[in-house]
Amino acid sequence: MNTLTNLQIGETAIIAGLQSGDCQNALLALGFLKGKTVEVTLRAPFHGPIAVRIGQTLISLRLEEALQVLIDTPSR
Amino acid sequence: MKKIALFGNPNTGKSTLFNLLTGLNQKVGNFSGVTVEVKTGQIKGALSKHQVIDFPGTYSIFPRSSEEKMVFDVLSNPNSESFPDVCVIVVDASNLERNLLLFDQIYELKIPTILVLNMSDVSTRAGLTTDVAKLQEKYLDAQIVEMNARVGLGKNRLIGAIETEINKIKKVDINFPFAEKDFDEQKDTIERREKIQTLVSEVQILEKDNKQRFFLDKWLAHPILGYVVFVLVLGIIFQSIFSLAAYPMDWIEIAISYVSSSLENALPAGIATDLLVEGIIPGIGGVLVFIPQIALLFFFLGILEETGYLSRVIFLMDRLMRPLGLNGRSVVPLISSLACAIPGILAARTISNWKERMITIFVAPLMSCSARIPVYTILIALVIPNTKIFGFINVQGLVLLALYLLGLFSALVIAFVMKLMIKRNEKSFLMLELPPYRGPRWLNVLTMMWEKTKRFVFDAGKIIVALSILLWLGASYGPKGHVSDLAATEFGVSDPITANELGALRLENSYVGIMGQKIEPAIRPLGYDWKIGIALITSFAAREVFVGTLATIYSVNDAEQNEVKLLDRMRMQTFRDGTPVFTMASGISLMVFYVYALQCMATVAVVKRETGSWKWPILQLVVMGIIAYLGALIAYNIVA
Repeated sequence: MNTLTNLQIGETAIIAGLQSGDCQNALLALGFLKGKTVEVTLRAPFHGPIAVRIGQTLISLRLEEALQVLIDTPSR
Repeated sequence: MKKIALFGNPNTGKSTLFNLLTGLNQKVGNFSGVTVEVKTGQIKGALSKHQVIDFPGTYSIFPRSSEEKMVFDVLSNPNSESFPDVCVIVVDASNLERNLLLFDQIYELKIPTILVLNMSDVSTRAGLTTDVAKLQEKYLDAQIVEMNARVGLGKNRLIGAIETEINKIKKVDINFPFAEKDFDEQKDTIERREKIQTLVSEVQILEKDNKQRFFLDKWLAHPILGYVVFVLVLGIIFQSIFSLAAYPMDWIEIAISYVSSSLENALPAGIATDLLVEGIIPGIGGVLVFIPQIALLFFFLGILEETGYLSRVIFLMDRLMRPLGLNGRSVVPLISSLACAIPGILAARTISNWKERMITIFVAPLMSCSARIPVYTILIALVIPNTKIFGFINVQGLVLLALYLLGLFSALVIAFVMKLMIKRNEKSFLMLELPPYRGPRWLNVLTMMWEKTKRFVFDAGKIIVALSILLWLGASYGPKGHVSDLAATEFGVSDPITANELGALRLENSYVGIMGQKIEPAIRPLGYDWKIGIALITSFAAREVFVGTLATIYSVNDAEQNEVKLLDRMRMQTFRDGTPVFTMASGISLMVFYVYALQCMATVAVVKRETGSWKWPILQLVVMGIIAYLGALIAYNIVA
């Protein structure tokens, strides 16, 4: 299963669901909902956080947080 | 008095709205029933007897940080006196779907509720149309007010809405489903999210995307350029702080010495006058003199926050800070601590992870604060030659830079050691919104600057003034009574001596002077004599008191005007065997001591309050004290 961490900068995908984990509820509160389109716009160096555009918002997630977001096949 | 509570997601313009409603008519304080501090204020006019409370920004009623927990705590307890009578929930109209979750949760509590649709100018430009009538159909019990808080549009509409809602009778049996035992947070949030998604698709049409609001990220959050920009921004800020603050600092010093000399002349001589002129006024002066630097720092930090740049800094720094047990959010507390550790320690509240927050608080005082600068400059002027290497690098400047870097480097090392030692491992989150770039709202910048400066004056001020009085007592009294009444003969001196020399003799025989002599055996290995010991003790009020105390001990009337004279006196100081006290070795040893030692009672008090126990400040005091002593000892022996 693909997760948000597989996306390269500029790629978009549709959220397929959230893996259960510590920040599942917080991700939901931020709007990471099944069916939403997400786009990765930035990646900090040394495997640092990524910035994800969801709707009108840009949210930065650490890789382990982004791992909890499952996605469909990415598209450019 | 009724309570009007402001809620909302971060970056919705909630603080702008609060500032718009209350102006400077606001204060930070403990709010009854909760431990975290909030901002409260009054609206001018008919509503002025009621209290407006600005709650921390949160995405959901369920908390992630201790700051956010307050929203849950207050709303879950309808019987407490802090329970709001009216809830104003601010949502960013350009981000309706994400914002409505919190509103939807609070709406369910059936408190009189106002929904503020904050239409930022960006949202209108983004081509967004909202069908307010349709939204109203979905939330019949709430009043919906459209506003543009940024330009002040709709303020009267909101005040009108609050006036209607505040007169509604509060329901007695408000139930709070979110705290029930079998409540499933996840299921509830998914259901709400899905409901809101459908709802928003019915009431809002988005005509075009808003990508251009983020285009600066190409440079400012760039994997390489981003760091270059950050270092440049910091450099420019601190350069401006030090050069701009120098003028008002001079004025404050002149004003303080003017006030104290005119009071001395105007008031009858006596203990009360001495207390005022030598204890209280210098103490107040020692607080006021830091205001320019702190105000300027928060002016610049306010701009960085308002424009959205600060979140990018956190984004870029998070990966670099984590191996050290810190968090991207630790950057702001550490930068603030370069002016003063007190606002820095308060800024650590935004860190949700307990361990990372404690480590940030613990190492913040190692960043070189402005109170160390007078100590460093006088010692550097005294023992470091004013020469240039390679013809252009000033050695004195280089040493000052080295002291800053030593503090920074030690902070990072100690953070790393603490990360290994603290066993508690709760999950750490970042999950940070990167808001679109925008121009700063100056009212917000100025309010933040005002509020932080006020906090510093009251937090540090109380303690510095109290300690100054205590130290004045210790320096004015000795076993023989009030020392300033004693004549030279009482000290066994028969030759005629100057008033300044007499002053030094009196200090030597005061309680503080005796303490300095008592600790001399302990500090002798570091290269200090008992006179420096006195200055070490007195500078617990604030580090810069070190300079003033030396001036008194070495019988210089006024340290500020007579720095050259003070330097001469310091050069002439010798131990009993005739060797000079201030050498390169003892000077560097003192500088190292001041890099590490937690010579600041105000910091100790603030750490106690922020961590909720004496354990942390005492540990900090002891650990930093030991490192300071050992560091100074090593430095002295290497150089000597």
